[in-house]
Amino acid sequence: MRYSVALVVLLAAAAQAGQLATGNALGCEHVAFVRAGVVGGLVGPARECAAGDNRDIRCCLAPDGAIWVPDSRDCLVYRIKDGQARIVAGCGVKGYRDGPADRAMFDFGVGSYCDVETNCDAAGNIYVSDMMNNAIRRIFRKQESAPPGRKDSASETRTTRPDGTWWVETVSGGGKKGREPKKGEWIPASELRFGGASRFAVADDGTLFFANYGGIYQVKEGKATRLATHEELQAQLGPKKPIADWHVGGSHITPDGVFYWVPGGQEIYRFDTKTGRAEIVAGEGPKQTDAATVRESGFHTVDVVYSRDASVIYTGGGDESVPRRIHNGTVKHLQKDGTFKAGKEQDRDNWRLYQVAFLSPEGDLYTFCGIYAWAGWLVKVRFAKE
Amino acid sequence: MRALVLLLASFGSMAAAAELVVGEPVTIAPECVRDGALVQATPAAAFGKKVYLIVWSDGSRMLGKETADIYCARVEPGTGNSLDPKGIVVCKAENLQSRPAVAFDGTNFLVAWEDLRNGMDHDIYAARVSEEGKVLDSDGFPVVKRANNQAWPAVAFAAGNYIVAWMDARQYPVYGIYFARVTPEGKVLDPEGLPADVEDAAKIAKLKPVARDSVAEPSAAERRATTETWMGDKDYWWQPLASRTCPAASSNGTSVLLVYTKEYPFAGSGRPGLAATLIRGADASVSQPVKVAGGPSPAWTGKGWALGGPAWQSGWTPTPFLGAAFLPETPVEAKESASPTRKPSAPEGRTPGDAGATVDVVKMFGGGYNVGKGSTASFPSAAASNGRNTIVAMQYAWREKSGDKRPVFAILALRVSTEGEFKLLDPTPLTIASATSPQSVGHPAIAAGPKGEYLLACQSDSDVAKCPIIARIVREE
Repeated sequence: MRYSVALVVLLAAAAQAGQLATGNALGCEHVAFVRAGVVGGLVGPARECAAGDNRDIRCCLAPDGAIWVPDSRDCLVYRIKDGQARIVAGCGVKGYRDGPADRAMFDFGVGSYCDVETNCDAAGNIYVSDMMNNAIRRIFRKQESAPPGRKDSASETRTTRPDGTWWVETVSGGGKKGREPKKGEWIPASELRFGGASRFAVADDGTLFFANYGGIYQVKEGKATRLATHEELQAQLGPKKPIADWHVGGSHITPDGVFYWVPGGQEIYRFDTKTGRAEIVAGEGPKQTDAATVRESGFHTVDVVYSRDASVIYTGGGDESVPRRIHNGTVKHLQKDGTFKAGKEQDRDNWRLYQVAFLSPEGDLYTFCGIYAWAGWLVKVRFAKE
Repeated sequence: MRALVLLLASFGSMAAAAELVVGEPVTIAPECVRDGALVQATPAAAFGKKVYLIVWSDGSRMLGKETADIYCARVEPGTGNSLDPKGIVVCKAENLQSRPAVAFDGTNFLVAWEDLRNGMDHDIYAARVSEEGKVLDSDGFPVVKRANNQAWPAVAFAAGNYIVAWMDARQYPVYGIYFARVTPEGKVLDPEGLPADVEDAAKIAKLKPVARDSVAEPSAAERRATTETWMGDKDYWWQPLASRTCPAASSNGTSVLLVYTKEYPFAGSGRPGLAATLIRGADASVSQPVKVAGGPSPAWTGKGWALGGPAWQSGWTPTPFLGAAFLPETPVEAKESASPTRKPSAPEGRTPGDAGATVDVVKMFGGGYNVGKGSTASFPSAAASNGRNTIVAMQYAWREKSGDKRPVFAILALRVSTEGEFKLLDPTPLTIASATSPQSVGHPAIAAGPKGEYLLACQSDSDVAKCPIIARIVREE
């Protein structure tokens, strides 16, 4: 198991390092969901499935190639694999309940603020932000031990395998008020006061990182700590800078431990978890503008997705309908002819793909093609290799 | 004639109405425990001559270990007692069977459901059940079995045939409403399905780069010719192609009214709304689809149709009203305002109460759930008429104002008089059932029974392993 996880990580890293496509757009194709809201969801062929709402959500690509998509309105989580869509988690009722995935309850939010993010670790566990419950939940396949006497020859540990059932458990927070750890103090993750944020990042080993009202938090193996306080971050970023990454935005952790986050979807920050240094990456300029530098460019409440090492960042969604790419020190809007050009969104003949959802290891951008306020179709945009 | 009878609630006239009395809840199939759990969902109900029949989807949707099947149980009128506490298996095929609907033909019931037994796409299956509780078509027969999804069935009986309708994805990339006639003997007269309301094929063809009739993966050549040219605002997702979804059906004896949601991909020029079409049971002729007001659950009143359930206020963040609108027997297009407005100073052409007789449940229960922009069908509803009036029920939810601010769930019901003037009989909705998260109630189903009574069923979730269908007799006294 550990070897397979390591292999997945290595393959993903190799794909990211050598073959990330950052050229012009070659085309896009419909991957999943139709423009039809269906209470309780509808599964079957991926391009015919329907959810209640997938606005301001982020999806993830699991190591097995499955795409995980939350439905913010009905509080369900879909799995798209081999052209088929299935609901894995959630019973369709808002609430808070761990246990068998099909009977679990989530509470992703209310109305326009149904932000929900989905991430996965290298082992294929899926993590979902459950904002109204102040929690981050994990969707996983329950393991069962192999028959007695059998050992995994490679690891000399008892072999386990999925028993076929999917479960949901809380890994951070838990719907209660909780308490705040001091910086460096570790407390049970279930007691963490701000135990969840609508945006969060997951490292390969399942460690969680997120920015909430008290600062930046880390959750690992059932324990939680605060990496930086709100005050410490504002001292570096600016006295009035918001810290909590909620509603649009998007968080990310690179393999070398740099945490990115985007409070309110406007300015992109990063925090080095090793040094404690925080800085503004982008977004200080006028809204919807591609300026001479990344930092001078401006965003208007956008969703943000990252390549593994954050060398390529895409924005789009929220109040901007056109994806933008941040790469090699520039910010550019995607045009209808597939090229990228700098400028203002309203001045351009743009390619309206709306809301970015995730970036594959190869550099394919997945977006929701709808319009603000509407559930959309999940579309894959493929780019040329430079 | 106007499409809609406009009536505001006249609270003064309500005092004379008989009170609605709700009986004790009865668990319909408490002994139907499977794999240690009692998980029953999305009930539907109909009355025959002697008994009610409640149908539901029973079992787990656990990926890879799906056991969701179709079950039913008979309920005694008058007492509301279950006659089949162990439940009756209607279909136990592989994979998922869900969203059952039921109607009665004078002799037997027909239960229809969406079925994923092929593991690829949903088909519509059906089975007859006698009033004695005998399943006449074990595991069901296919009503429609094509590639693509056929889902969300609705069923009613008219002029000697059942009309089974469903939402159908055969017309990529949108859903349309199709139907088939099924005889009381279980013969499907239209096995390919007939269109009730579908998108203009010419409009789709005009946009279609190359043939993409199926969901099969295109070849490399097709991919170059198609997907790589799907750019800009000429793409499907920017065209005003409308999906028609989630049909509900009611019969007046000769025809069946289908009410469904019609959506457009543009937020600015068309929000989801309700549409209706009438199908004659005898010859399957279809009326011109029209836009209608009110809620998504139809009931024949003897004079026309009551469209009950949540009616949605228009606007950026629409909120639901509970009530009903009146639709003439032959549906006609609703006026522009299909949703209730909350402000007395409504724009010209809109009148408060345009959706008929409605109650502002958001105001009444303190708001709480803004369910999101463009929503029309977040709260399942049901309606039935006993000839004198129509009862409308809706699942609703709000959030506690204090404490943990947990979601509160309720089944709300109110009556609309359909005997004389079309008007509200209940100044406030009656709470039929309620629960606070993590417990919940939802998915109401109603059937009109003998002596003016109703059976109102819903799912009642109290634990991971306990979500039975419960039912109550509701009568006027």
